[in-house]
Amino acid sequence: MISFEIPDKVRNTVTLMTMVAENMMRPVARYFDDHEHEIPWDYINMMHDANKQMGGGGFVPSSDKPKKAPEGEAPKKEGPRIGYQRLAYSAEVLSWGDTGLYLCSPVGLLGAAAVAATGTLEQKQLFLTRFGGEKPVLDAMALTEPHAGSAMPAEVRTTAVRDGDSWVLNGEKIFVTAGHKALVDTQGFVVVWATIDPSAGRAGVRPFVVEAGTPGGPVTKREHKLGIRASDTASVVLQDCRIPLDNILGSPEVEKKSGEGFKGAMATFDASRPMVAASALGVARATLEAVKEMLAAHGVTLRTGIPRSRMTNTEREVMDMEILLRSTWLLVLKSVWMMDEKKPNNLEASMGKVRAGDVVVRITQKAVELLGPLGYSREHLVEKWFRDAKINDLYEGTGQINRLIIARRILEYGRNELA
Amino acid sequence: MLPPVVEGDWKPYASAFVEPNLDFAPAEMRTTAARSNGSYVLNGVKTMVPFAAQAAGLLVYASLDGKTQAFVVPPGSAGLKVGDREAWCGLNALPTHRLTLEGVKVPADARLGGESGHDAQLLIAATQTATAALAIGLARAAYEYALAYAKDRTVFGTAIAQKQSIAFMLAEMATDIEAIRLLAWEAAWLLDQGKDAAQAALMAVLGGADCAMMVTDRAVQILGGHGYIREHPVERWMRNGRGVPNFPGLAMV
Ligand SMILES: Cc1cc2nc3c(=O)[nH]c(=O)nc-3n(C[C@H](O)[C@H](O)[C@H](O)COP(=O)(O)OP(=O)(O)OC[C@H]3O[C@@H](n4cnc5c(N)ncnc54)[C@H](O)[C@@H]3O)c2cc1C
Repeated sequence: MISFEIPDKVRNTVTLMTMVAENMMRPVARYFDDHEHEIPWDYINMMHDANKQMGGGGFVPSSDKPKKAPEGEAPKKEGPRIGYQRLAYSAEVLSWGDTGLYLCSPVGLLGAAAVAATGTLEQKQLFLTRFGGEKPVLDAMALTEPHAGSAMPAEVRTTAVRDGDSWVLNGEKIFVTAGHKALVDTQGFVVVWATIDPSAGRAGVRPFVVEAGTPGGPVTKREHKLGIRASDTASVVLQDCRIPLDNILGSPEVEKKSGEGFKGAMATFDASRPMVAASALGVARATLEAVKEMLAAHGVTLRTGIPRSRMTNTEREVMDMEILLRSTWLLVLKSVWMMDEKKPNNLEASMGKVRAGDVVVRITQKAVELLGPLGYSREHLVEKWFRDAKINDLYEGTGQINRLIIARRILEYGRNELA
Repeated sequence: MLPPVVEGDWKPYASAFVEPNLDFAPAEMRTTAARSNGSYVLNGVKTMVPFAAQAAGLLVYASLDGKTQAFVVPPGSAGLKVGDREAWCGLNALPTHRLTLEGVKVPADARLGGESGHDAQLLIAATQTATAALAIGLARAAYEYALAYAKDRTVFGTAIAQKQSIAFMLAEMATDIEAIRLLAWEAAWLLDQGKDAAQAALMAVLGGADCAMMVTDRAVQILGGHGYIREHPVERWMRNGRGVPNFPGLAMV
């Protein structure tokens, strides 16, 4: 039967993450917005310790983790799969705390998701266990290049050439979230998308794991941004960057016709888009709550249970925000529930991403307007959330790109019919 | 009272809920109920009462001491006047009438819940939820029709669905329907669980009203001029869709 109850285990996670958000994120959110490129070590170390205490598995759902059944013991009985639901709730709550800081979590985010979705058991063992190690590590995912973002991965120019028992990577990646922290500040890794056969188009594109300390993989630049300033956005220039043969995720063969290897790699977006959507909605919720609190503090009461025709403009705006936020959150939950149930969720993942991007932008923009000078002031976080919000309509596929994906699905069109 | 309704042949049982005021609010009815020697006396005007002329029974909502309560009123009661069939922008398959109550007297046990009355909010939440579902069904019909049409209709040698401005509208329609449907389901689930569904049901019906209007409007747009012609159903769905904010009254039987 359908249920709208939060599973108990997820509820515990939410309680814990809310404490983190309130105590470790909100108090420093403004500071790291004002001090771009400073590293929030307190948050990173605290999250690392917490992650270790919880078994070090990080944010990768247990069904995708390497399993070590103790010898001689029967494998544990599995409960309902809630890994991706828990992940979405965590992303929402931590972004309610602060999106920029959330993106600095040393628990395995986009890069780890790619490894989890496409790696072999050995690769998962090799790359994912490090999140439970002695020191915190961050991961990143590098797809975008200077000449193309939306057109990726079809227009990947970064090349991977096999040379004996290694791959040699050349090319430039930009806008890599946490790229500096993954490669310079910690011993993490970046999943770099490169082509093993430039003549094969998208069918030749594969993700590769580039670890910190690899020669020829320097971070050259950190961007200055509108928002999410606690998160570094880095350029990575690969110059004869040599990595082990086993660091390719997926098949090293190019199947020009079926494009299987490429399709497998794209599955990581079905997992990551709901997380971006959840993160967006955390900001939206933070904003809506702040609006209600600030209105109450200024003696504006919001009546409930009255028809629209009787509402004040403020009441109506707030009600519309509630409707948008809740309906979109349910959509995101549906998309992660489908992940957990191993149902194809490509359509729902893009639907959630499109709508969450729209909703967080609308809610934060309206909030700044509704709160007047208080909304616009840097004394409060609302203006910051308005700046942070916009990224959600851009990364992991812009609103337009995700609309394209939805449209192709519902119309049963291929990319040749709808471009 | 219920057995003949649920076990017998279908007969119209109608609720008189909506009032002909532009600021109509379910919690503040202008129709009143007053106690009088062990009975209730009802006064007021109702509109959009479905099947009022043939109704086997009527449920009239009125304000009793400032609280909305429902009363069972037999058709033909003294002081009850059923007006002519009303004409609306849409929903023309459904006959509705205006109902005038002038000193209509009903016994004490005609009040739902008897002496202690009932929580009208529960009825309102249930009908709002049903209305939300209805709005989504209506929107889905228009969306599916427009989608099929868009794949079929060609301009400049390609299907109009192959143009992003059309395809993106369809993508947004599908997304809105999906999201608002979940809102309605959540309200229904809360009602099934016996939990407070007031806010969820209100959100669902408001979201449903917006969804129905947005989607049906775009369905007409996607059909272009043909959408405006009554040969296609989309103009009808658009007219019906605009009525959703008034539906909670109609859906209450
Ligand atoms: C802060 C930040 C962090 C990021 N993090 C990462 C990261 O970790 N890893 C990574 O790989 N990338 C990352 N990105 C890159 C991001 O994913 C891209 O910026 C995004 O995909 C858009 O690409 P673009 O900037 O090249 O814009 P373009 O592709 O040039 O698009 C420009 C405009 O055209 C529209 N458009 C493009 N194609 C179409 C089409 N077919 N139909 C209709 N409209 C279209 C777009 O929607 C957009 O409005 C990040 C970006 C930012 C700003």
